[in-house]
Amino acid sequence: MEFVQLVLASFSQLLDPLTLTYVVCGFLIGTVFAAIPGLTATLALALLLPLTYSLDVTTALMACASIYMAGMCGGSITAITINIPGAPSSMMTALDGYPMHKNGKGALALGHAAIASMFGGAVGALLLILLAPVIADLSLLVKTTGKFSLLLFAMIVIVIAQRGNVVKGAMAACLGLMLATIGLDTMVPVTRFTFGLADLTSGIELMPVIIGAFAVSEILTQTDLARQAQHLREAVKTMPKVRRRDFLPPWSDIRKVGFTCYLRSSLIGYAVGTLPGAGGSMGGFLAYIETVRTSRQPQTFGKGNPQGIAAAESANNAVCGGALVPMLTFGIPGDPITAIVLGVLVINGIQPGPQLMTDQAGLIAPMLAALLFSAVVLIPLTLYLLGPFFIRIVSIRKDVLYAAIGLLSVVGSYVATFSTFQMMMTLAMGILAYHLRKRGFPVITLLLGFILGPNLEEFLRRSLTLSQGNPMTFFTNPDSMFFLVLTLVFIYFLAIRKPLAQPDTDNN
Amino acid sequence: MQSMKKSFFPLLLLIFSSGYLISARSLGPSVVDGRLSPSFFPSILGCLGVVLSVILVWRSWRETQPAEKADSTSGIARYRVLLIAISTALFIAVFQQIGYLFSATPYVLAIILIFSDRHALPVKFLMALATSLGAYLLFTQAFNVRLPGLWS
Repeated sequence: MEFVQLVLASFSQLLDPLTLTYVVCGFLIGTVFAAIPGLTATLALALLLPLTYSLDVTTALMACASIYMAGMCGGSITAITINIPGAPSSMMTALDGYPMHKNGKGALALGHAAIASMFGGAVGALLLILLAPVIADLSLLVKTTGKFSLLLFAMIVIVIAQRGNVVKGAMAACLGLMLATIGLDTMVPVTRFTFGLADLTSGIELMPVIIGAFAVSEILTQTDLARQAQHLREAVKTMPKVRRRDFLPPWSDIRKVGFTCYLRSSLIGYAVGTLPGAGGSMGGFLAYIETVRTSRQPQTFGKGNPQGIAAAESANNAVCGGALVPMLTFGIPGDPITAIVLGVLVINGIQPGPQLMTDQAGLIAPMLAALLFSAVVLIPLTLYLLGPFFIRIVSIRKDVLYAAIGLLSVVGSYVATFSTFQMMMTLAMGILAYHLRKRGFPVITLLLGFILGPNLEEFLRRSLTLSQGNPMTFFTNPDSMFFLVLTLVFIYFLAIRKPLAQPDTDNN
Repeated sequence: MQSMKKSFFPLLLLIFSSGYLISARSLGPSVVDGRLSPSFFPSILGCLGVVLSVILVWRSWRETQPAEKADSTSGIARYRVLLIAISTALFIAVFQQIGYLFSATPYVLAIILIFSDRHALPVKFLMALATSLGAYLLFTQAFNVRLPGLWS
């Protein structure tokens, strides 16, 4: 309760004009970076990291929190308007957002995304403030074998969720895992699959994989649709002018999405966020498939159902609150952004760990206040004030847009890695993802295989080393067993059990 | 012939997975002195990759779907993909040698021309220049990132 009071008192720091400026600027920069495909809030935060040396650590952490929240919701702008997620966390948003946009409801889709982001972000931040100490205690129960089973659970669920496409999904995940093994071994100083290339020693960076898979491959995919794109540009000219009130979904729409959908997705996002190694993309994905699974009209998803947007956006913004738990309590970042926030703490001489929430509560409380402020105030305010400009992105000439995306993608990968080799990897990943997409392989499983691969291998090897090679360790440890049972439950619901009978709408 | 065309990509995956498995095995035994070695996990992945790609090859042979439907990319689109890939590779190759502005402007112009026709070339050149300059200012001025120039 003391911590809650401290957070409430920290809101007074936002009254300081300089601090508020940093928080608002951080949010706007995060939104712009998240909205531009190929750039992410992670990159924005990484670029702004040197600035934190000149800032008061409390202010720096508050700005980081606002960039984080902006990064989660900003990615939805381009996910909805041009079907290119500005950030990986918005991959699921594009599934329903883009069809809505194509149906002339882009502004409404952005409005749904903003409301869901606000709700999810607020729930995540509140849960973090209220439950962080309790969750930290519970997280201690998950040991190495449990962490492996958790990651395995995530991988299996992602693959089996590709209904009717499981083998291709598994193959793509396998390719992602294979790519993740390139470079130095995670446990012993041995290089693998480098074929004598020094540039491969440190492996393939995450940024080229993300930019390649989602930006470069998109440009290549658009070659087949170039003529359609020219027609679309003509159609946009006749699009009615978007007014600010177009972004406000009618109350009936919000009721149709349902409070349960917002809350359930937020809780899933928060829970996923607390798991080390998980992130907004996984939170959004699990919330989305859960919403599809429980929906009475699953066939409407992927065709412009606002519930899909609400589920993905509530979850990925709730992840912000959850992901800070392992980072603040154990020093284990939940995603790349929390890894950079961890860096901010370390360069300021603060050691994250179980004592941080008590010893440095005065530093942490303002950051959580800024996180809540960003969710509740800055997300809706930004959309309302800048929303009409967001929607115009589709009226940009597609030839110029794709050229700009190509330029920003390639230069963005240079900025993230400062390596010509990694820029080439961006192109290679783009070509690979293009061919996978063209043949119906889900690129998302490739990406998650790549992201989760190193930890999956490390925890597997550690677990088996600790148990002298006895695989029964995964069945005898309760934490591991919990996730294995959970995996079986998901396999039953997603792969074995027949989908729920669809209501016969014709008779109604 | 159609069956071969459909099987080309799965066969490519099979070759890649097999190569990966052979490379993984060449890293040494999976277990050394009771401890898992760096080849353990890649060996599992290699086996999994081979099994999955064999299933995909088998499925592609069994499918009755015409090859044209499986690979619906038009000839023009395939040509565009190739042009974009070559342009991007060239841009990356000369990016650090000739600097940002001299490499970015022709690259942007090339992509614009790939996605449009060859009419109004001066306007497109100006757009390419403006896009390159805009991105340059964004990176260098707004975000203080140093991009390669001729003088560096």
